Amino acid sequence: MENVICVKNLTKDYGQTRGVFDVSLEVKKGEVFGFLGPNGAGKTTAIRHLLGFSRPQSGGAEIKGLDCWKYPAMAQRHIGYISGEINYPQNMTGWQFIKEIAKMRGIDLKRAEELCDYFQLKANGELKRMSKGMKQKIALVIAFMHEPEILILDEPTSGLDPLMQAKFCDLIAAEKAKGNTIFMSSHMFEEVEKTCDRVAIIKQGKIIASVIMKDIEHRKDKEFEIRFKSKSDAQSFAKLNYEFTEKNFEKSRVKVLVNDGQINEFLTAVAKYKLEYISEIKFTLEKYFMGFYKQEVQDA
Amino acid sequence: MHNKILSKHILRQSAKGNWKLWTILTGILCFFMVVMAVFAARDVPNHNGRPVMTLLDLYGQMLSNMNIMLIIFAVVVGNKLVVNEIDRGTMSFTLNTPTTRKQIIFSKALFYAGAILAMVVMVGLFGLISGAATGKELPFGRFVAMLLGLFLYAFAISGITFFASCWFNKSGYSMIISAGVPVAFTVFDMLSNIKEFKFLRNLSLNTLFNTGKIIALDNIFWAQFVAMFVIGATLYTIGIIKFLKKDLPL
Ligand SMILES: Nc1ncnc2c1ncn2[C@@H]1O[C@H](COP(=O)(O)OP(=O)(O)OP(=O)(O)O)[C@@H](O)[C@H]1O
Ligand SMILES: [Mg+2]
Repeated sequence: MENVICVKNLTKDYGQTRGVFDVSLEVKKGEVFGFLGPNGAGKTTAIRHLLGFSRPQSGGAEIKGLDCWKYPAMAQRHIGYISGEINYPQNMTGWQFIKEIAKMRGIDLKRAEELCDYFQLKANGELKRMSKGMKQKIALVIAFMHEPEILILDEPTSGLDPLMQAKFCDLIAAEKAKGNTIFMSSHMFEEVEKTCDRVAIIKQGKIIASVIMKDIEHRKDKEFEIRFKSKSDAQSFAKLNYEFTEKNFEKSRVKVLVNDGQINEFLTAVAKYKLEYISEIKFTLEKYFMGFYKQEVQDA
Repeated sequence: MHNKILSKHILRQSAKGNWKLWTILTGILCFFMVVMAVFAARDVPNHNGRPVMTLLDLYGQMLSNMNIMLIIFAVVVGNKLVVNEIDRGTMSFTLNTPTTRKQIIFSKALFYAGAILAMVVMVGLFGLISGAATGKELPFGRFVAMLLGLFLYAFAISGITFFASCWFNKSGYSMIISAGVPVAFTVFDMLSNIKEFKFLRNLSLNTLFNTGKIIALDNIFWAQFVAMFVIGATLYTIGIIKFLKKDLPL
């Protein structure tokens, strides 16, 4: 399928390993792409290049085959954008501002009204008196109201309550179903897990890992936590030929990785012991990426 | 569509956001024009049947002292139009519409210079009407030349602000330059009255707007007009180019 967003060897060096370095990524039509990374990793910097706000030092970014720096306006008409730091003009109500942007885009307000209802937003208050969540909702309405085929969202759910975060995830799913392409940065694993098809992690300006969400969901290796009635049982079980990730005899507990192919044999072996409980430890995106995040702390 | 250089939305928004200040400052200037006309009509002592201070002299003095109104407008509006929107980040919304950087900056520049021109035209109209109403003689050509000088002076000052507003991404820096430079010019101008500091005249833009020279039809004023135009136009141009090329932290 065609690439809607294409970043090639993008470099922008702000010095002291800040910026983005040789970043390449592609997002296909209809795909939801998540961009994760610790604070200051370069997510916003990369996004600014997609919007044509920043000029690449080398490499570049293309949207629908057009260079983002040279033809930003061509790409902008297909894009709905939420900035990571949202600020509004002073002395305006939310609805006045929504109307103003709609006028500039030459669209009617039907979809904007629907979105306000959807997010339970009363937009007729003064923008500067609005709570963080309300401001975020205004930005969501503005980004989605012209039904753009590409959404570039920098931390779109910051400030939203859990109910609204869930609604946001549903909205992303609906956009994906329409064939629209979504690129979003986030710090929330759960929301990324729910919405994204593919995720890349960026650290100190470099993409250090990328993962297809399906691979995580359908991992063949499952991790189990088993607690035995007695310490000796735990010790005896731990001698078996499995891949143990943790042995805690004090608590009579072990954690073990089991491939789907071994599962029956494994259960038979377990059945010979007296257990307190057995439970699967779900492998989450958070777990996958925490390793990368933690290293950040050690490096620093 | 993409080749259009102006955006009616940007022009409309700019007018909507700044008409109040424009009206107040223009009102003050026009009020003083009327006062001058009335004052000239009544109180100026005659010397051999001719006034010592003609209405044109009074207008000239008033305008070279009250050009601060134009400076205030230039500094406040110039910063509001560009750098404030970048520093606050609100321009990201504008750019996420079919409006281009080019349309934004050309529309803003046009509005800015246009508002200053309109201010001067308004002052001119009030000057002419008040002169006629009080039955005072006002040499039309020289009065228009004086207004042209006033506009070019304000155009050059607005060029400094526009340049700073486009050059910097932080409102603070732009404010310091755009307010600091005109204030420095005024201080230089005042100090240059002291003999030891006469050289400071050459460093002040205020020297180029010399109503005395215009009234006396000293031909040097044409050269001064050209100089002010070139300064203003150059600063606007550099500002526009910078805005089109720079990274926007949005
Ligand atoms: N214009 C600039 N000049 C100098 N340094 C910059 C500039 N823009 C960003 N940086 C630096 O580049 C690094 C990456 O910043 P960026 O905003 O892209 O991080 P981020 O991944 O979006 O972080 P966060 O999760 O906190 O939003 C930071 O250290 C930042 O200070
Ligand atoms: Mg960021």
